[in-house]
Amino acid sequence: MRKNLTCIICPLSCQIRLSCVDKDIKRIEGALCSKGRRYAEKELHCPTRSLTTTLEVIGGEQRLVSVKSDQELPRELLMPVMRQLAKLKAQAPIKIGQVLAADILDTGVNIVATRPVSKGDNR
Amino acid sequence: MQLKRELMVIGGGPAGLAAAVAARRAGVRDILLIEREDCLGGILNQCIHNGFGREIFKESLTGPEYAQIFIEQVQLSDIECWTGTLVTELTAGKRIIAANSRGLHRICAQAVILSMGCRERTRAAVDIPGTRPAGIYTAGVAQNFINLRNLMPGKRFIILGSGDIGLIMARRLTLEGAEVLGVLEKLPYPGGLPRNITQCLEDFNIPLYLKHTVTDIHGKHRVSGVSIAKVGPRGGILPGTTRKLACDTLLLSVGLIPENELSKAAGIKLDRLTGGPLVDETGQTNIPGIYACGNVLHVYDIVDQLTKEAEAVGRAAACYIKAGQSQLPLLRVQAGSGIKYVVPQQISAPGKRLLSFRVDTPGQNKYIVIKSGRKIIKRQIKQRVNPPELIQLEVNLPELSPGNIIKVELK
Repeated sequence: MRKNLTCIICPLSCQIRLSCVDKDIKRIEGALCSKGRRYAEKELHCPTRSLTTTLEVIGGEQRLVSVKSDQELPRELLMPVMRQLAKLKAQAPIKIGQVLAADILDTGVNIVATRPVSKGDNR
Repeated sequence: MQLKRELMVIGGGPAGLAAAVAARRAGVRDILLIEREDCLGGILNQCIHNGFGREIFKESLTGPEYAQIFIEQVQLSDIECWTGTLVTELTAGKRIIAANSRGLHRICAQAVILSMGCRERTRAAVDIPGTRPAGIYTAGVAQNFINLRNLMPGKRFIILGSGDIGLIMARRLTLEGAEVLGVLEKLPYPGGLPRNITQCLEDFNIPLYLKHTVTDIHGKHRVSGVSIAKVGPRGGILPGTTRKLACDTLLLSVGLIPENELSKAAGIKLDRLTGGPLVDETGQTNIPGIYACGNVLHVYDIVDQLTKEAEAVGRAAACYIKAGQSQLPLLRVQAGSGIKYVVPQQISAPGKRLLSFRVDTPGQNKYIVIKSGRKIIKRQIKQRVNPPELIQLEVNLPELSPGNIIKVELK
């Protein structure tokens, strides 16, 4: 089976051409670095993505704090995780890197703050 | 009362932050950084997605994380920052008027760095006919509402324009529970990076309509729908292809323009092709001691490149402050056939010089040819060229013959 992928690891966006037999890569072309092969393998077996979103803040200088998943999540869990995060709020002050939701949906992945938020009145 | 500073930096986004820190490290003691918003970081604060910093930090950071690194450097370098302050006037004599809650301030400086960034093109810039209901936003405004203000601008979206901001907003809106009916692009190829087509559209089954545009906006108080049509090879609407789509919001991601109102009023010459100031390799404009860096100069696609170049501009401004003068441009650099623009547009001193440019259409196995006068000084093959991807090449110019023109061409 032949398959074309766009590598999403970096902005170069390598166009990867694969020949595979039952999800085993027999031949790979077009990836400019070794990360491309790892990406292609993951993409065939279990595509994963980073999630970046926001959480509502209580008592902060900002209304929202930007957050990210500290590891990639299985792609099909992005929407379920979003629905779970919609129920949560974070209490200011918040430090950058602080875990705001641990082990989200039993994935072992934490949701961490990507900016600091000091105490305030949610202007 | 007039305040005096060695260096003033106008704009506290990634360019201004990097330039200010670099100038401080190069020995400028007295720096004032002025920012319009209440916090530093500029547009990165609302770019909560990741992918920033791969070149400089070898990891994929989110916009706020990338900004925070430089905000901390500014704070550690003890650089004076005025946030919530709008510069209303800049003169060729390097005097500014700035307004904030404490009043109006007149400040003059030995050198000025312009780092005001860019702004979005609006409906008026692309002339979409129709009514004027609520529900028409630029993609960046919607991004600001959702990521900073906790406001959702609509439920059913059409996005016009396939630049990276449009693609990233398509994913963001979907994650936040909205429906994105499609992203429309009038050109035969997408404006954004291929990886964003994959991770922002294909991952969420959002259709991309190439060679399509919005021909009409419907609705009285709120957008009720848009008409879309196919675009022909010459850019005109193909008759008989129009159809109506029901939606409540139209997002426009139709390009960015360097924000140069202050520069123009100061008499700084702009490049018609970039929309930014004409600069030499140090980032100096036609007014000695006034420099430009970041998106105010030309719209970058990767912040790491912007940071590195802004740092060099910060160092150049420091040299100018020390020497009290700078070299004048000797050569012009021009975009030849197949090239959209080149920065810098002028060269003042011999040496290895980095040229940044964009091609005007996608292509494969093309030669980039750089000529000095009639002589070819560099020739490089590129497997793939794409207008959204900025190309940077270094050329060695051991000596400059005044009046010579450096030309970049695509063959």
